[in-house]
Amino acid sequence: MKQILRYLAGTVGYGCVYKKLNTSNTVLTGYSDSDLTGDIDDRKSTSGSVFLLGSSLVTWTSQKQRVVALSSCAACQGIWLNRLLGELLGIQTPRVRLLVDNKSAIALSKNPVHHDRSKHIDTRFHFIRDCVEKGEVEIDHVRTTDELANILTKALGRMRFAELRQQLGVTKV
Amino acid sequence: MDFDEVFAPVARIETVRLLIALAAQKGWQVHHLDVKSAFLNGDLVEEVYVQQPPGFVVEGGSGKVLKLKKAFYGLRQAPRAWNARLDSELIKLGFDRNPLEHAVYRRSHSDGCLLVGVYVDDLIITGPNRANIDAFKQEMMKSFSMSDLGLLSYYLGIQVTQERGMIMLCQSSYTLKILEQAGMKGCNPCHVPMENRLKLSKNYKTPPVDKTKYRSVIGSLRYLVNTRPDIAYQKQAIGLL
Repeated sequence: MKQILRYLAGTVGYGCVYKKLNTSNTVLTGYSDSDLTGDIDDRKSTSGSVFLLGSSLVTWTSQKQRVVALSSCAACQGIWLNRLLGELLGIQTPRVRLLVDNKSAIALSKNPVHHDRSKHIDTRFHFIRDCVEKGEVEIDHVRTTDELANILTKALGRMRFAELRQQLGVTKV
Repeated sequence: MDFDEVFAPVARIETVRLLIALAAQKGWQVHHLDVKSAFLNGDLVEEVYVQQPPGFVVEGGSGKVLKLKKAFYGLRQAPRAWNARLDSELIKLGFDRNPLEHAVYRRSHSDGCLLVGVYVDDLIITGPNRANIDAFKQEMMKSFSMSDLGLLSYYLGIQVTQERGMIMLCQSSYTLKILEQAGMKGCNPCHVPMENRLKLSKNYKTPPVDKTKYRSVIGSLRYLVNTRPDIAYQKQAIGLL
C-alpha cells in the first residue's frame, strides 16, 4: 500500500484526458485480458477490461474471479455501453469490437464445437457466443504488446506500465 | 407506510464518462446546472403529516398536525419526489428518457441533439449547438430556481478542464488529501504502483497493520480510481487482502 501512495505522490496531477477526433465515426472498442497464474493463496485469476470510445477511456474493471472464459461480463458491459451510445446519438452504432490476446479463447467463442476440456465453461460461454452470432460483438485478436487491459490484471514493469498508461490517455493534466 | 419506492435514479460514473468522452470527440461543450434546494421542489403523492415545529405553533391549535404539500429534506420519499418532478418537467420540454439509463435524457433538434445527465440536483448538459444549451437553461430557470455554473468544471469531486478539443478529468486535490491523511505527504515518489510481477499473499509473517486506517485508505483509493485506471489493479489487489 505504501508503494501505491508513493506512486500517487509522484503523479498527483495525473488524470484522464479526452481528445477531439477528426473522424466522425465513434466506435467503441474493448480490451479484455486475464492473468491466469492468479493469486498464490486461492488460485483465482484476475481479469480486467477497458472500453474506449475512439481514444477516450470510458470504463474499466479489474476483478478476481474463479472461472475465466473470455470475460463474459466484459462483453455484457460492452453491449450495454454500445446500446447506450446508440441511444445518445440517436443512431444505430456499429458493433463493439472486443480485443483479446488469447487465440484459443477467440476460437472457442466463435466455434460451437464442444471441447472435452472446456465443458465446464460452457454455460458462461454461451452468452458471448450468442452475442457473436447475433453480431452485437466482434471478437478480434490483439498482440499481447497492444493489449491495453494488461495494466488491469498484473503488476507491470516501469517501461511497460508508463506506455500503457499513456495509451489509456492518463497523463499529467 | 403508504409509499413503495424511495429509489431515485442517478447517472452512473460510466455514463458520465461516456457523455464526456462523446462531447470531447465531437468538440462539444459540457455545461453544468445546479438546482437550488432541489428536494423542496418535489410534489408529494402521499399524505404526510408533521408535528408543528416548536416556536411555530398556531395559537389555539396546539396538538394539531400539519399536512405537507411539498416534499422537504429528511423525508424518505424526497429524492424520488424530486426526481419524478424533474422527469415530468423534462418530458414536458420534449425530452425522452433513455430506456437504458434513466438518468439520461435526450432531445432532438433540427441541428443535432441535446443530452442531459442527471445526478440528483446536478444537471450536465452537452450538445453540438451552444444556442440550444442556452435555450434549455432558460427553460429550466422558468420552472426551478437554478444556478447556472457555466462550463462544467467540478463534478462529484472530480475537477474537469475544458480546452479547445480536449476535456481533462483529474482528482489532484483529492489525491493530496489521501496522502495527507495517510501521513505520506512529501514521501519519496516512485514510478510504478506495484513491483513488477509482485504477488501478494495473506501468509506473510509481517506485523499486522492498523486495520481501520488501512481500510480507510482503501476506501479513498476506490473513489480515486474514478479518474485513475492506472491504479485500478493495485487497489483491487490490496483491497482483497
